[in-house]
Amino acid sequence: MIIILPVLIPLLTAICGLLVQKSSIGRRWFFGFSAWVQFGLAIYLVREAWVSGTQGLYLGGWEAPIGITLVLDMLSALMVGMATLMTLACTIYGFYEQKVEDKHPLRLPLIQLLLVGMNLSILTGDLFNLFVAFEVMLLASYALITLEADDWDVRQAFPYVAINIFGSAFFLIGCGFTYGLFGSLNFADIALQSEQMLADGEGSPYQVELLAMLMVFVFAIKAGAFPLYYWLPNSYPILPPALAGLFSGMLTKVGVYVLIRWLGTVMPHDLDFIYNVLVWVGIASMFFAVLGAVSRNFIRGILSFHIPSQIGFMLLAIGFFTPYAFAAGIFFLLHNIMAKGSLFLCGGVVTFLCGSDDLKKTGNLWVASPLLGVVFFVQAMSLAGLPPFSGFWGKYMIIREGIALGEYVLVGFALAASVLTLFSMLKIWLASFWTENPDVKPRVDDKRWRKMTYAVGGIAIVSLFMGLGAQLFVELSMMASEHVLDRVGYAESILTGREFR
Amino acid sequence: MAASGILIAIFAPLVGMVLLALLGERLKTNVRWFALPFPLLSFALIVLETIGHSAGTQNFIHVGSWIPGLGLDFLILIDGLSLFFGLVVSGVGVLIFFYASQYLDDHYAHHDRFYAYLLLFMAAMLGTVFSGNLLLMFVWWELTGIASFFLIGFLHNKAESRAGARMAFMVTITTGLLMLAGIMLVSEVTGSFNLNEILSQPIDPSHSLWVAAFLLIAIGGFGKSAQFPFYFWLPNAMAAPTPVSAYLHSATMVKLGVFLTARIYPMFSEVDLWTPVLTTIGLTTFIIASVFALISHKLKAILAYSTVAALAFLISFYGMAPAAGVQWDLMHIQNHVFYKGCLFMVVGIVTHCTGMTDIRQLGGLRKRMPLLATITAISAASMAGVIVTFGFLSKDYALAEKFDYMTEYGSFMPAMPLVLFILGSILKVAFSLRLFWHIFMGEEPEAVGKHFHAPSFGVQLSPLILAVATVFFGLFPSLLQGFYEKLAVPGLHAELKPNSLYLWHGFDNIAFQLSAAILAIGALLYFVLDRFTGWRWEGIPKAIRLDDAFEWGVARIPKFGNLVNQSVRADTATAYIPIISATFIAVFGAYIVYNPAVLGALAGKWQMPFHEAEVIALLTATLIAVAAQGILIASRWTTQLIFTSIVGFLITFYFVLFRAPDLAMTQILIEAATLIMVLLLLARFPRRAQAGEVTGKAQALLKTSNSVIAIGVGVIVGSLTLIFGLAPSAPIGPWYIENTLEKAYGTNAVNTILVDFRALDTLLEVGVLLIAGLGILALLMRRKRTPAEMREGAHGQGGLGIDPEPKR
Repeated sequence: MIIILPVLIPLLTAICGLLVQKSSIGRRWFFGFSAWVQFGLAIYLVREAWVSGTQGLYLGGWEAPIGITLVLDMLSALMVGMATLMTLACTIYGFYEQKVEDKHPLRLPLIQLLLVGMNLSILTGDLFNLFVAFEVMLLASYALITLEADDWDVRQAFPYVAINIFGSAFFLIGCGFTYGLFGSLNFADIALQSEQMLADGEGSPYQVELLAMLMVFVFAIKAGAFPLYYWLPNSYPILPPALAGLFSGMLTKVGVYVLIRWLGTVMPHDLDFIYNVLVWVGIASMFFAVLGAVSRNFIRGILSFHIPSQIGFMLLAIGFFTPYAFAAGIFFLLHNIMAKGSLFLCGGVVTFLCGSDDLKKTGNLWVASPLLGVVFFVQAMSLAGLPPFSGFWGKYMIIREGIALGEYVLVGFALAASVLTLFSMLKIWLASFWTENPDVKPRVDDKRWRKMTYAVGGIAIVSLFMGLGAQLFVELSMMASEHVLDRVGYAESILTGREFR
Repeated sequence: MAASGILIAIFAPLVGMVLLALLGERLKTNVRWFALPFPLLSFALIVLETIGHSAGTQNFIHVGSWIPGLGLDFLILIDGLSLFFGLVVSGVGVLIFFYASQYLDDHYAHHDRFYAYLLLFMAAMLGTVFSGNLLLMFVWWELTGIASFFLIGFLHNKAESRAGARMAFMVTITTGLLMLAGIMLVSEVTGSFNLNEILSQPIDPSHSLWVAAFLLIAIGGFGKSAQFPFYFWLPNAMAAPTPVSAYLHSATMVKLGVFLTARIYPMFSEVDLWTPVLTTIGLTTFIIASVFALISHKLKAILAYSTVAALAFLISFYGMAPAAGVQWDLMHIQNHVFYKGCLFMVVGIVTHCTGMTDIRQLGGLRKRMPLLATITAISAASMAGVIVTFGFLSKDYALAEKFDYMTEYGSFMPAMPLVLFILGSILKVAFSLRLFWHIFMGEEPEAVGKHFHAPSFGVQLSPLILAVATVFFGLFPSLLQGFYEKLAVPGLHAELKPNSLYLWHGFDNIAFQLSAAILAIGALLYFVLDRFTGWRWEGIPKAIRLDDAFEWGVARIPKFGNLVNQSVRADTATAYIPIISATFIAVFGAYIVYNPAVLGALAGKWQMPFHEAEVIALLTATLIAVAAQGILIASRWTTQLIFTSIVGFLITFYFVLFRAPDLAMTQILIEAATLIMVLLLLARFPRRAQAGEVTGKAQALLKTSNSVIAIGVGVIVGSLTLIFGLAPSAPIGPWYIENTLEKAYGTNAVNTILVDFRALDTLLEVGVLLIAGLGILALLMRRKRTPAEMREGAHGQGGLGIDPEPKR
């Protein structure tokens, strides 16, 4: 029963929030409280997955593959944990970012609806339900991206909407093909069917491979892989910082999660062509996007371009397709959600203090607000992959697997991309924190920046813990990788063995 | 017990850093007295540890598993090497902290941060040298880079500080990453990061991965120790306040590369490339840096290049170590620490007192600062290798060793190290002499007197201690024999002969004769240069400055990024969908075309005989295809829209054919509603908007390419449909039809699926409608810009509650 709660609670919260239209302190308390409850619940789910492994929930009591099944395993539990953590941080951050009366009344309900979509995408064990979850998630994101925009910004948001609708069309086509091939949309059922199909010599391997490719294509658009990420770096910057943190941290990563789920759990494990393509797509994303990042001269622009660049590392890990590489990719994914999200939030504090995030119009912050500097620096170095921060261990695991597989060229590329990441982070650091800019007077007197920084600092502390106490997260990632790759175990724990055909 | 002492020594500075970071601001300049106890404590603990150390042993102490899943054990290694470096780091640390307490005055803001960085650095250094696990060592190693970044950039309002910090950071981190790759290769070959486990394994030194590991780790060492071609960051790191330069960039951090070379000696010394690589890089750097030291004018640059030269000597020293093991390496390092730390502090005092940084602006200061002149004379003499200083011994033993190397191998190439070493030493004598002479001798320029204020005794205390030590150990070197014997490391050091460290080896000793000749020629070189050139050039020629090249490259990275970005069209919004579609065509097209099985299957589908019932389907399909072409051909938006609708209406036939009348109804409704609403919308657009953003030939081209892409996507999706077939062998669908009445109490299976079997989908699709409504509401509420504001472009983030420049 408890597995549905990450979907149900935010849905109810959003509806209650919509009933009370006007922004008020009490309404804020309500949303904040709900966010805390959801985060606590997510931690309980992680514990649950740790103790009992993969388990399903049959909605309406219709057993798989008849009804919709939600599935909790270590990976989905961890992802729900991250989604709720980021929502919590961004919600609290948003409280200080704007005064109550300035706040758009629809923002908080829409964030909760976005969370409904994200959590369901993570938990669902059904392809069409995943499509629906994506629709909820994307519609909420369309609404949020234009929510506080003026009409100039709306034009920047257009590619985002257009391309995601385009991608959704392919998703739907893919759903149709999946049913055409397997006669079912349930993940566990597909996993079992595809296995049997190959064993019986029925169907052809290329059908499965093409289907897998089609869905990978769709998920790669959502995740932002080269050259499908172009919509991303120019539309994310129009978001208010609190939302940018959530979008950049969590939203694109749902695409990566689904990719891991699809290739790891649902599809057979012999699709070498796809893995090879993914590896090189990963390298290309890493490089082209990081070059885009260094070319930008405002914080949001730099950070937005880093999203697909980091996705490249995850694609590389997925493409290696070994249990260790999956664990590495999952570790990196978890790290990146926090690092990326908090960097955007830090960028928001910089904008709050300096009035702009154009690097030429910022400065003096290391003197004015060292606290923000520390938080930013920790997360920036984590993103660049310096020890002992969490990003290092993620990259380390990926590179180690690359070396073990003898992929020295790929490892070389990954290291070079890391150097460029470091360079772009230093660009922000030098311009915003170290440069003495006589035209900038950081408005530190407005104490709200401190509270905003505390909200980011909360994530930074979790992130720092993930770096210094990496053992726990390494174990969690290993277990998550084990759960994801155990197709038979997944199918057996979801399918009850009854015949429905 | 041994571990706890070392652990406290490592972590005490770290605790100090945290305390200072939290409380330091309130202490103002008094913070220096709160910082000093930490290095003292560490030093005392390491001294105690050294006293208790039994000679020639290595103690590995497993403190705990940090991240066992990644092979990272907190393994401490206590041996001669780590104790020696621990003594240097903490001992010099004490001197530097004291020096800084006298040196930093009210001109410097944020003393608390300064000491916090220094403490962080010290902890990282101690962590590095005491690591018995290579990965652990790497973590600390990179931490020294981070601490160094903050220290170099301490005066971050100056552009040169920022540039210097970035350069040092980028170079050391990049080479550090290569070193990491090397460390991983080591673990790949041996299965462990723990040095004790690595060393206990028999390894084939010609294994290609092992050679690669050596090269990568060596690059890491070269980067940190500023060897060719990475040496350029070190002179630029001199933008830091002098205590930092003296501590990090002469005595400790830059020695990490040397430390690393010694540490990996037992692992890699049998690799064939060991001697060639280390010797070539070391000696090349030695000569380049010595020349640069001689021709530089900035005080700190002279010392920086001489540091590079000294490090290069040490690296090449390990490179040429005889098979039996290394001797006297610690003496050479100790010598360098003594004189270079001292000289840096002296130079800091000179700059502090006169405000001058260029050696050509100075002179005659012996009268104003006699104590400092004496200290400098001793240290410079030690750098030059004059007898009675510690430097003489170092050079004497090095010469003897190089001479032995030559005679042992006896041909042309083995003589090169000796020749190059002599050449470099001559240059070294010349710039040592210049350093002393140009600051303290000759006439005093007027400008010097104007700004001059005398240094306190306190600030001169630390260099004085080092100078006294230089002379003391220069005169009584045999006192150190026992010290070095105690610190011998198995696998690295050769056994020392009893009482082999003494000052006087006699006149008829080739090393002594060479040494004397070097001094004479060096002095001659200085006087010739002084006499005939007047030092009139502008430092190092621009054409061969690698730091300029680095900055040049770094400045162009953003432009290059922009160029790449433009050329892959990542900033052109109208290109996004064509590119995504083209990718789709390329990937799937290639897969289909290059896979004979797929092609065969496709061909098979086409040969299916058509039944009569399919004639209508075929007709509908043809009509849809024709109407779709209409979209491509039509040029006006409204016409295109109507063609799109025709396609949509025709699809209704399919639903009829597949006996789904309710879906056909839905489809008709949707098409009708969409057509009417979008037509109304299009009517509001100005006619010229339809022309699009490009006109003329470009537009025709764009249209053609988009048409090709559109047709391509259609062909691929069509082929995929044929490939998958739409008749699964065991679909789940029939179950719903059979059981809908019995289980869900409904006669219409579609309805029961929607509201019962898959009710969550329906619930959330309703939710989607709600969200869409909210989104539209928000769009209607949005702030509109005036045409003038529209042209301004981005205003900054929406929703921030601040308008940067409101209502422009």
